[in-house]
Amino acid sequence: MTFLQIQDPSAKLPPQEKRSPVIGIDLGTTHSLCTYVPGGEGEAPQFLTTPALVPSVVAYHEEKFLVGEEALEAIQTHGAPGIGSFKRLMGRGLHELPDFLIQRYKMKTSSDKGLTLEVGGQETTPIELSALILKHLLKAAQDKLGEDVCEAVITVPAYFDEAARVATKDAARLAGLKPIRLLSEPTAAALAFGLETKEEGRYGVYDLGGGTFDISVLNLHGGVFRVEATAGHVALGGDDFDQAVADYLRDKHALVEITPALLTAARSLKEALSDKDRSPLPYAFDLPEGKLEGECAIEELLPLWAPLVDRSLSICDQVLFDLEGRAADIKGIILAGGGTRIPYLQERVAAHFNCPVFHHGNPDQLIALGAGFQAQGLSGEGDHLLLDVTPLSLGLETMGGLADKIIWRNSSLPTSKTQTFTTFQDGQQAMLIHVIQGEREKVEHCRSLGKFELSGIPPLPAGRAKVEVTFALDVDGLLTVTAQELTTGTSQEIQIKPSYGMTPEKIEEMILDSLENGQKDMEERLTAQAMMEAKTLASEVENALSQDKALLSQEELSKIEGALKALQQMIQNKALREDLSQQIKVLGALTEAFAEKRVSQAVKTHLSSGPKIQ
Amino acid sequence: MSKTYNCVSCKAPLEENLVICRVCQALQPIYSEVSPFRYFGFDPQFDLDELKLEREYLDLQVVVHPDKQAKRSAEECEYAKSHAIKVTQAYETLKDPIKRAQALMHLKGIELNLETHIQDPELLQQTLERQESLSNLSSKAAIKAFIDESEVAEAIVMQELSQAFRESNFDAVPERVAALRYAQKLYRDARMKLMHLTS
Repeated sequence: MTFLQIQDPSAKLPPQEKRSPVIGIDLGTTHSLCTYVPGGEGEAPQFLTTPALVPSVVAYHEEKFLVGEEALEAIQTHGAPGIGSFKRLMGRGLHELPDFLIQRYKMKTSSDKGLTLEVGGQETTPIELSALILKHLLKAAQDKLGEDVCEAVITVPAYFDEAARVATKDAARLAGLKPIRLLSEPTAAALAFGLETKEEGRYGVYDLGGGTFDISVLNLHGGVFRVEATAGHVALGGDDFDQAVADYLRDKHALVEITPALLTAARSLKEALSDKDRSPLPYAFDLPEGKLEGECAIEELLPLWAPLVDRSLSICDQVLFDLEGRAADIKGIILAGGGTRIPYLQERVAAHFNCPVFHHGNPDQLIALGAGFQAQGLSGEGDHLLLDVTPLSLGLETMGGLADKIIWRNSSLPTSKTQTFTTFQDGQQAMLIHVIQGEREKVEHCRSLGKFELSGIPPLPAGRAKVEVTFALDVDGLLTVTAQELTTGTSQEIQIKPSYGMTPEKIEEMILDSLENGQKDMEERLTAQAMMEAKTLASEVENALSQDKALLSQEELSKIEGALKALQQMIQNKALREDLSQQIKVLGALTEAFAEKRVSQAVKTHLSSGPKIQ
Repeated sequence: MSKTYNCVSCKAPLEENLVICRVCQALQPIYSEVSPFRYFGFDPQFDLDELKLEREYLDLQVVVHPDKQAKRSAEECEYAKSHAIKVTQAYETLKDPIKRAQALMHLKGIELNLETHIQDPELLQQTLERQESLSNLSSKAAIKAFIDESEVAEAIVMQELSQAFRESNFDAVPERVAALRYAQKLYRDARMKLMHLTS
């Protein structure tokens, strides 16, 4: 039975389900930004952050995490502990990182959070740090658009592996954003270039970001952007060029080490010298390690930069190799990423590919712009289509620790490939399916994505059982592996989640925490921390007084006792966080001299009592 | 001779590909038994218009790609999902001369084993000598010359393979395919060697 729906014409129509705006985010190593491209024709793309570039830096200052410019300021003017370039840590394990970084940030591996590090005594993870940046961008977007935003296209280096991609998605979800697509950075740049210039043909994108390098070649034709080959390096970027300039300054001025301040100076020198007409350039930097004054000619830096450029160009050769004959048709190279501002680099790239280079006025913004266009496309607006590829081969471990590739790098997505394997022992009834990612021949040089066991194989002579393994990779790069034994039809299927990073349960827990409790949760956590700190301090002071009261004058003693009592009362009354923090400071200051006296007395006793054997 | 297919929606005969009806634009269900040739609406022959293949592939991707399904019904979305993978698979088979030869032989009821080696002792000897001479080359210029020669050699084998199909000389196909595999490998090895020498 069907009823006609009767509507009161004067009543308002139910609101049409309107999708909230989908934004594009460039989550960069050194800076991040977001864009929105409205659906209507001819509407200009908008940059949602002011100033346009948000430094990808987090600092811990006055008991809270600061992001972007605020974080930079806290680090520079208050010496607050902070961290940048944490994108380089996404999806990494402890064993992949240099010792100095591990020590500087007290990095550890925890079972449910993956790699953890400390910033200002607070334990955090690269995922949480990235989530802080994303939250900051999300807020800027919501303020600017005056609408709720919950979905985003986020760009990642084309050469990011599965673990780093999953980590990026986790960060987005933690920030309250649904990552509807991770888009390769060079692809994003090509999309922005193609849609803005309406150029067609085969183009390369040379993308040198702060910390990552990618080269992709795309064919732009009739609104279809087809990635043909891509390669890259996840630890080669503009930062390395800064480092080279810092090395130069250190040697020239006989400095001992490279400090963050020296690096900042090096970066500004690099940027100034990117303007050709200004070489040689006099410089003067007022740094904590002293005044640096001198003159720098670009020719002095070229020998330091040349090896970095060479490295990037040899990666380009891999792409040219994969393209075979098509390499000759490249019409031009699109430069993306702030690192490509260096004229020397532009000349080398043009010479290497033997074609013109296209330099966008704001190479830092090109990628975010592309993310915005893709967000528009995925909202059902716009009529372009992006055909992306998988940057790294996927395969299985076979006999002797060898990697057998099933989906080769540069395969168009979505894709599905099947291969048949067999048993190597008589009567073998189970098979370990070990899924790996990478180009190398040996499993130990590839990245392990997951393992599962296919059991229930009928006991047959070696080589007789047939196991069909299917790899299906969707447009998001999500891999599903199915293994099926053909004689019995026993089958098993898993979705691959890399064994690095946070467990899904932990992510869920943290998202729920942040969603349900939000600000309140934060406040509670801080209060609990302050309470813990107060209790520790009170018991320490109490303990010290009971032992070394004699070191204090009557006046000092009564002041300390007064402040201690006040703090203990606050603990009992569960005082507000601000009051607790204040009293902790007061008592801390009063007992500072007392603590010093105790230390020097302890040293004296220790010395007079002679060497001890434990 | 070959089976005809009609559009599931408007019943018009599908004369081109089996992905979308060019009359009413309806997505078609997946027919698992069809060859990649029929699927793309191409004649089952070895010689193929590569530009036409590229164009058709991109046109079909615009229809079936998961990012383009915002305005489709749930049923059509399901079809699109399977087509998206199948279009790429069929395209890759048609584009690669060896896979294309294998698919054609399959249509003739012959399964082509891609692991077989060259049988003709003279040709085998020649190929091994070429491999040997590549491993002795060390100058860029010499390798570049070798690459050019290999490219020509590969083109000649392609010609022979195409001729075998045109003359329906299917007995000659396995040997030609093996020769093509060797020629491709030689060309690739030489290019790889040059790349490593350059970088």
